[in-house]
This record gives sequence, structure tokens and C-alpha cells, in this order.
Amino acid sequence: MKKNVAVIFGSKSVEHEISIITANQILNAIDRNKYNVIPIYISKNGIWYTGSILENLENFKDVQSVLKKAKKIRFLEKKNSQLLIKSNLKTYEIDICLLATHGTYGEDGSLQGFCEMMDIPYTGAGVLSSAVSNDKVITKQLLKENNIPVVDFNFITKHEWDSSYEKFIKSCENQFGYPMFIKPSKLGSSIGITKVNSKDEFINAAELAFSFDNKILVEKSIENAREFNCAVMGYKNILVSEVEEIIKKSHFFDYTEKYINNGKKFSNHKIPANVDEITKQEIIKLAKKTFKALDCCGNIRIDFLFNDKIYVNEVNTIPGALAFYLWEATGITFTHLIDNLINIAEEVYKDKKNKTYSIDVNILSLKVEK
Amino acid sequence: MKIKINGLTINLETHGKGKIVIFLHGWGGNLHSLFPVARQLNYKTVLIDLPGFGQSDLPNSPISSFEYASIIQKLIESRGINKAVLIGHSFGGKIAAIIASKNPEWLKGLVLISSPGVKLKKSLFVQLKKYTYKALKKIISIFPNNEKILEKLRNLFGSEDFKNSKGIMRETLKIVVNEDISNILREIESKTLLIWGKKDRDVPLKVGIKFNELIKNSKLIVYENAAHFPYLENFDTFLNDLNNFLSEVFKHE
Ligand SMILES: Nc1ncnc2c1ncn2[C@@H]1O[C@H](COP(=O)(O)OP(=O)(O)OP(=O)(O)O)[C@@H](O)[C@H]1O
Repeated sequence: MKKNVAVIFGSKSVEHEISIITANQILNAIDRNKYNVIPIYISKNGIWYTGSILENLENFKDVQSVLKKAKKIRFLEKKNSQLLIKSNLKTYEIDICLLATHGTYGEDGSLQGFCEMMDIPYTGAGVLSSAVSNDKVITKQLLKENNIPVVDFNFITKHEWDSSYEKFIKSCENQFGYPMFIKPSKLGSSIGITKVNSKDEFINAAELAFSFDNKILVEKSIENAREFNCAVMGYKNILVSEVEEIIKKSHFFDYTEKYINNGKKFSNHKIPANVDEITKQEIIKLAKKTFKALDCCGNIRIDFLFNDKIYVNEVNTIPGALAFYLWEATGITFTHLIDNLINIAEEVYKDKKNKTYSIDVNILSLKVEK
Repeated sequence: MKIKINGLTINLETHGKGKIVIFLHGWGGNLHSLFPVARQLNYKTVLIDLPGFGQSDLPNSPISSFEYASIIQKLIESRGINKAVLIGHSFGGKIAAIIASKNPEWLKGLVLISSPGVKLKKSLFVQLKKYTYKALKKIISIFPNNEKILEKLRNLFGSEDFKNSKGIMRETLKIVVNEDISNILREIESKTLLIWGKKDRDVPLKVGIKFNELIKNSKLIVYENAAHFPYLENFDTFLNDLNNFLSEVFKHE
């Protein structure tokens, strides 16, 4: 019996388009001898669609026409072990959700929470670790607590900023000195991130970052840093992929460079990284520690900065393209990576089912002896 | 590292330190095929290119799995290995099983993943295909210079492995696919872990069930969504099962 796998992508996120690309890659790689695949696209305003029109990336060049031709999902329901998804004409039975969403409403715990409520297995990290990893400030605090090196940082909310930004800037200047990095706490793909060299730039960058999030963080800049990434996968084990180096072209790796430049993706990825064995082992050790500290499962990508020391810079619980290229370099094909994500999702679900969530005693009806 | 055994140069790699785990890859693979597993283990791992694959020499003439097994056993023993677990995938598993049936002193455990060696009743379609090929071959043999036509026929009726192998290796494959090691499996004394994918179409689960019946101290684990590469398809679960097995068999060492 083939499992019915829903590949969910899009959603209300600035990384919406990147998610469409990730999903498309998944749809091309997934083993159709093993799974029936149902693509589910969540539009930018949160409406769910399905239909084979979603399978072809080309169609998304004209999103309006995709939305017209796709089947709108009207109703969702749990029946036995399956999630039923109903359009006007058809009902789709789903056994497992493969999440290909990035950023808000997809990678931040919300969609994961939806799957939990619907009681359906889903791929990747759970609600807690998704939510934590999606917030750079909370992530850094947690990693620090676990003695995992992170770049020195400071943070502030919009309300605090409005009332006391002068004081905050002063303290950052004293703490780090220029240049610094200003980032929204909750985004990915380098959106809303600026490197600043003066107080004026600081203020502008902060305003920009606040347009994406209510909390921003400020980091000391690690000058001339090399950037390494690796993927970590597992549930019962913690398995680390080959390490890659990102060769930077502009002053920092931004959205345009990562996804738009000549349409040439990965041209600046060097796999395996040209790095000495000791540093590599240190990266692997920190990667495992980070995966554990964040209570992850599934497949994540961890980004590191390195000058003379390694820092964990960022964690992506649903990495772009699922970081398949890192696993390929480790001897695991994209197709097998997807098998693994599904396998882990089912293992997690099975273990959860074996836990007790309700007790057969109605406290309200207990007689209390006086 | 290159080592000469029976006049053949055999390529092998070792990684890590600790107790020894030896890997034998499947047909058409090489020592890298099982490296994803080896690199995640906290043991000394030995990865071998089987003769005719990777950077090892081609055998001088077509050989059987038994000859493969004796070459590899010699290689292992020439390294002075006195305690090891042997892991084989597919064809490599069959070789590992033959070595294990000799019950060498050093063998502490055996892991067979999706390995052939027990003949099943072929489905009618497969039988028909083979029969047709044999019949046609007879007819064509009457004519001289028929190798080209035969090649075409083989492409039409042969398996993927068969199509991809050339010359000596093709003849070797012919020998090995026709072997049945059922009787040998009964001889194996060591603890054995069998790993199969339920969706395997190359070596179906039925073979795994047969292996489990024939081997005395075996345990079969089946992965629901896996096919012929369960160790990669269910990487996390496999490593967990493997690590449990390894720590159990090495416990008393
Ligand atoms: N403290 C720092 N010092 C030096 N360079 C930095 C620093 N912080 C960020 N960068 C640069 O900016 C890039 C983007 O930063 P970061 O990884 O925090 O953003 P993101 O949007 O979450 O990333 P991703 O694109 O990986 O989702 C980094 O890859 C790095 O090149």
C-alpha cells in the first residue's frame, strides 16, 4: 500500500517563493513508486489549494492563473488515521504531511502545531524546536546556556526602541563597536539584515528590521569571517552531513546573491569545504550539540561563522532545498533524504502515540470525603 | 590502501578507531556505497572494493561468490584482524554469509542487508522472459557472428545489473545469480542481523524471511517504506538498529 504524502508549500512568508522552489525540487525527487503525492499550496493570503497544476514550477510564473486553475480546499477533517482534504469535487486522503515551507506560518511552529492538532505525522522539527529555532534571540540564548559559542549580541523590542533607542545604540556601541549587524529576530534568507558602520545607518537599519519583526537583534560583526554550513538529520541518532563553505561575493550574503544572481544557485557553494580536519571535527561536534540543545528531529541546516573560532550563527529547521546537496555529498540522494524524513516523521508519531495523553478518571466526578 | 591477494590487487580504506566493522558493497557499487554508514559509526571501519569493482583488479576469469568469499576472507585474515563484525549489502551480503558459514574465529557478528542467495519460485512473467531468451538464443546460435544479436537480446531481456556489466564481470554475474546458498546459511553460528525493505523488488522480502528461517541466531528487521537500499532509505532507524546490534555483539569482548 502506497502512503499518501501531502507536500505543503508557500504560506504567508517572505520566503514564499523559495518555498515554491523547494517544493518543486521535492516533487521531482520523491519516489513515486513508494508514495502517492498530493501537492498543497498555501497562497500568500493563507488559502489552501491542490491540483496537478501545482506540480510544475513554470506555472508559478503566473500565480493568478495557478490560483484560478488549482482546486481550492474547502474543508479539512480527521478521519481514522488520515487527514481528509476536500475540494468541491474531490476528497484527498492524506497519511503524512511533508513540509516544504520556509519562515513564518510554515517553519515557525504554527503549521507544525496545526499538524499536531490534526493528529497527523509531519516531517521535520516539532512545534517547540521550530518555534525556538525561528527566533534568533531565543536560539542564541538557549545555545549560550549550552556552552555553544554564538556571536555576541544584544536585542530590543519595538516599544523599548521607541522610548529609549539612544541608550540602546550607545550600549551596543560600547559593547561591540562598528561595524555591527542588525537583524529582525525572526526571518531567514538574509531579508531585513543590514551591516552598519555608523549611528545613522544603525537607525535606518533598525527601522527596516522593525518593519519585519517586533524584536530585533544587534550583533558584533565577525570581520573576514568564513562561512560553513552543514546539515544534521536524525531522531534516534544525530547524523551530520558533509561540511560546505559559502564563498562570498558581495559584502554579505543577501537574498539577491543567494537566490536571484544569474539564477545560478549553489555556484558559490564549495562542498566539501576546504578546511583542516580539526576545524571540521569541531563543526561536527557543535552541529550535534546544537541539534540536541534545540531538541530537533528531522533534517536541519546549521550555519557557522569562522575567523579563528567557530560560532553557530543560524539554524534552519526547514532548510532551502532541504539542503539535499549536502546530503548528496554525504552519499545520500535527495530521493533517499525524503524517504528518511518520512521515516523519521512516522517514528516520531508512533512514539507519541505510545504516550498517555488522557487519564480515564473524571476528576470532576470524584467524590471528595469531608 | 592496496593489498595483493591471490595475485589480485584489492583496494580498501579504513576510518576511525576502536572495534572493527568490515563492509562489503553490492553489485555495481564500490567502497563508497557504504561509507555514509561507516562515517557515522564510532568504530574502526574497513571498506573494501570487491574484485571487479571500484579500484580493485578485475578477476582473471569469471568467478563465483565462493571464490569472492575466499579472497575476502584471506584479505581479512592477512590484516591480523582478530575480532570484527561483517556487514554486507546485496551481493556483498551473500559473500559475507558465505564467509560466516565457515565460522572463522574472528567473526563476532554478521549483518546482511537485502542480500540474495535463496532462489524463489519465479513469477510466471519472469519465467516466461527467461524461457523466451533461452529459446531465441538457441536459434541464433545456429548462425555465426551472433554476439551482436545476443547482446541486443540480453538488453531486451536481461536485468539492469546484467546490462551494465561487461566481459568477465558479465560472466561472473551469470554465475552468481544462479547460485543458491540455502544449505550454507544453516552453517552460520554467529549472531546475525537481517535488514530488509518491504518494497524491495530486486531481492524481495521473501528472501529475507527465508534467510531468517535458515540462519540459527538471526533477527530480521523490516522497514515498511524501504526498497533495496534500506540502509540509506531509513538511515536514522538503520543506524540505531545497527548500533544496538554492534554494542550487543561487542559487549563481551
Ligand atoms: N555577526 C556577523 N558577522 C559577520 N557576518 C555576519 C554576521 N551575521 C550575519 N552575517 C552575514 O550575513 C548573512 C546572513 O545572516 P543570517 O544567517 O543571520 O541571516 P538569515 O537571513 O537567517 O540567513 P539564511 O539566509 O541562512 O536564512 C550570513 O550568512 C553572513 O554572511
